[in-house]
Amino acid sequence: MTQICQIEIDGRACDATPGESLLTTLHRHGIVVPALCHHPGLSCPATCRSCVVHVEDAQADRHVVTACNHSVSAGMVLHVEDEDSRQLRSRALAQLLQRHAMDCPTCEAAGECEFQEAVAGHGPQRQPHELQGATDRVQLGTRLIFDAGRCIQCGRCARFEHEVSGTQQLSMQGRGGDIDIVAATTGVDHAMAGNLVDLCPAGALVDPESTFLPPTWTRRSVDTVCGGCGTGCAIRADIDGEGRVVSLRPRHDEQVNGWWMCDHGRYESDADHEDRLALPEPPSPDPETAWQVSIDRLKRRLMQPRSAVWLSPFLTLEEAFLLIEAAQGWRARLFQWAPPEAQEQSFPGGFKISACAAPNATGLQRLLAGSNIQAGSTTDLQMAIAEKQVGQLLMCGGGPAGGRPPLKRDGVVFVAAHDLTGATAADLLIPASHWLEKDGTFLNQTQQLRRVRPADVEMACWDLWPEPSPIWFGCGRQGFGQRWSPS
Amino acid sequence: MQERRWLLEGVERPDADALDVYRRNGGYGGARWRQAAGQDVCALVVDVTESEAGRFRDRKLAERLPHRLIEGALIAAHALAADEVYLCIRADWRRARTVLGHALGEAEAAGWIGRPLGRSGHAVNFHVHPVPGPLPARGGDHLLPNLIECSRPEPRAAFGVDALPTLFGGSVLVHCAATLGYLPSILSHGADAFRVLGGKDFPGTVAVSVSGHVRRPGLFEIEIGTGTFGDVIDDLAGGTVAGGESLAIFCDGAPALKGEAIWSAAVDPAAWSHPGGGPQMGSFGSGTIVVADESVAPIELAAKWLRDAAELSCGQCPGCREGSAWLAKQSRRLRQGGVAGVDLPAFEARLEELATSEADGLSICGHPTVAAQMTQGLLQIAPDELSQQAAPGAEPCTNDGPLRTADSIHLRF
Repeated sequence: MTQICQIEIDGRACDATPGESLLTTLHRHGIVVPALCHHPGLSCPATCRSCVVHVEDAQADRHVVTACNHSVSAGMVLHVEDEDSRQLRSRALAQLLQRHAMDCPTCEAAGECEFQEAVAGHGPQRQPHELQGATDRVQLGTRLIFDAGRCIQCGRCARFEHEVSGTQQLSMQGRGGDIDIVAATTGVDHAMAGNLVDLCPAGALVDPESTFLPPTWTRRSVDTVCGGCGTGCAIRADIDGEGRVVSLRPRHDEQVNGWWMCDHGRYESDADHEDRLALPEPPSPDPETAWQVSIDRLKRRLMQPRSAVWLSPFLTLEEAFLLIEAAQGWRARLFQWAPPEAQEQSFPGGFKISACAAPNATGLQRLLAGSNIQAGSTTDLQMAIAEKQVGQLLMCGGGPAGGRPPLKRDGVVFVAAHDLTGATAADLLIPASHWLEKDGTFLNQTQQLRRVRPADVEMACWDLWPEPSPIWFGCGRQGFGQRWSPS
Repeated sequence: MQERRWLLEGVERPDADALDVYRRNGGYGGARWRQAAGQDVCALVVDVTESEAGRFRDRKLAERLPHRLIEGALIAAHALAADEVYLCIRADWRRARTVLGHALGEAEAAGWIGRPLGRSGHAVNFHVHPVPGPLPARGGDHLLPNLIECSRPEPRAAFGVDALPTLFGGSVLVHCAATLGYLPSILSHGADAFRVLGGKDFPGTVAVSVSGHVRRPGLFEIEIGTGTFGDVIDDLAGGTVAGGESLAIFCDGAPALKGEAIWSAAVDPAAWSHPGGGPQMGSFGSGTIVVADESVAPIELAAKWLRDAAELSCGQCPGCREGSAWLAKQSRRLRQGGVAGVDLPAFEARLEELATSEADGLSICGHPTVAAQMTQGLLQIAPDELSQQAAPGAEPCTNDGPLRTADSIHLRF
């Protein structure tokens, strides 16, 4: 049970947890104090000095402390919004502003820039010193640019490289006014480099591809889960006014991903792949009935003897459950495929990129084991095909192109593919949903339930088909998806 | 361990029995001793880096009296029950490092280091840790643990008001070498023998580093309260090179002195407003005197001082990083004169901001405060010259002669 103590903030009695940082306590009570060098996922050097507040001791003497690295104790008396404290914070911000390039109207971070917010709320009313903004831009990686003029030398990026990614490809160099962020000669090419853009409080580290995106204040966000691998990082999908997902960023989840995500999940989701299937193939003369015709055809074929369903680890638990149920109704044999195993990547900060490239491989295993259903492997399916035991096969995909293992399908009379793209040669192709469009749950490799919400992407089939996952229609259930909630 | 704690028991008492008092001879960290008395301290870090401008007594101590330094550190480590002692010494002091290394070898051969000592059975290991220098002045408390851990030479912010610095996760006491050097004689001759020297509140001696435009620069140990700065400059250091009036730059936070003030300012902490509460405004600091010839312009010296301060700022805290760089640039413009002139009120306001930045919590260490207070002191003694130089169209402020420029004065931190 957490102990609670009483403290006083600007003459107001407040509850607080002893040992918690002052900054967290202030934020909890709705008092915003800027903290530009502080990031909850990193160590706290307390160098920007923009979070200074006054603390009264037992003799009523006032001391200046930095809220980020001092902790709460019972009976503490804090002065945060008084004139003296605001003046000190304003002085600290004025110093940081001195060499900051004032290009906010064209800055990629404008609208979500911590420094901009801090200066607006706590900064000087007028700038007392001459400004010396520089505008050098250096390409550090394929998706990373460093704008030296905006850098406020908070050191978050260097600490991230040291403490979390362990790659040390960015570091602080020099001293005094010449202090600078420098990159390794190889640039920044590790698998967590995208987090540097999120970390930077002043827009100095930017993703070049975000330069021409709509401004941040026109976007909305959906909290979902990354389907790039078995880790299942909590993420936030930013969606522009036209309904397109423009960026994926990590959400804090202490149990799974901390504050971070990998670049594979961030940049390589092929939700808007150019070969994306829009309508079932072969095309129907009337697009309005294309879905119904195709799914009726699929069901008719799979009801015949010697049917098989090849399950995908990219299906949500709900989709997999319905498909397994339907397959049992069709008396179809079940097989499952596993994505090719990669090397698991562990980082010093505790972040891991799973060896399993699919989000729900563990969930699928658990679902089959819990239902006492035997599902064969890809090898079993291959043998069954060789022994002429499979007449018609439904192949589930949903992952990145090439993720599904190759299969020799000679002798299979009817092959239906439920996939993102039309790369598979099949008698019937049904478009599948990307994980960014799904509404359901995954079970990650550490057996944690991960809630996936549709990022409202304009999926090609939605114009004609109102439900998120057409496979449910193939299974004979309707109206289950959007109203379903695990809670 | 309990038996040795008596060494720390007296730290609250303002007399010569307490180690705490000896910080007033130039060592900092009296508060640290009080904190250390109640905590488990895993190591003692001895600061032999001496980054204050114009000071060189730690180097001389390591070169000339290395055994005393080692004994002092050994006593302190036993008092704290610390197992390790890190002697952080400037890597560029080759002679000091060699001598200290030899002395450590002798102490090890004699069985004082690395082996259980006496009935306590407590063994202390010594490590000589070369560090780059110069470092930001007065940043050593939390900076040296960073260097030992192979991080950037930056002072760390204290976590909590009363927190000791940490090294590899354990608490450490960081202490200056000169103060530890007093310990062997105090323990062998007794506190009373030490208290006979000096004043009531500030007993003992102080080692004064005198450099600059004097005939015989050097390190002089004098009894506290027995003379003025003029006495030190004229009697011990042989007077100024040119023979004229000197401008004494009293480093480490004190104002510059000129004319009569040099002869009335006593070499006694009790006479200064800090720490003794005396009539002389300013801080006694660590007893460092840099003497400039009367022909050197204070503005030129201030510009040099600010340039050095800006270069040596570690760059962590924005106030110090941006403030000292901005002031250095403005002071260069002051020195060079020219058409544009300098906004003097803004310059002075920024200097005042820098001077109060440590007290206002806007910098982690005292580096900007020392730099700004020293500059303020220099500019105060030449107010007319300052406004003249700041005006548009002022002539460049330079002097001729090998010893008559600010560059001939060693001011590096």
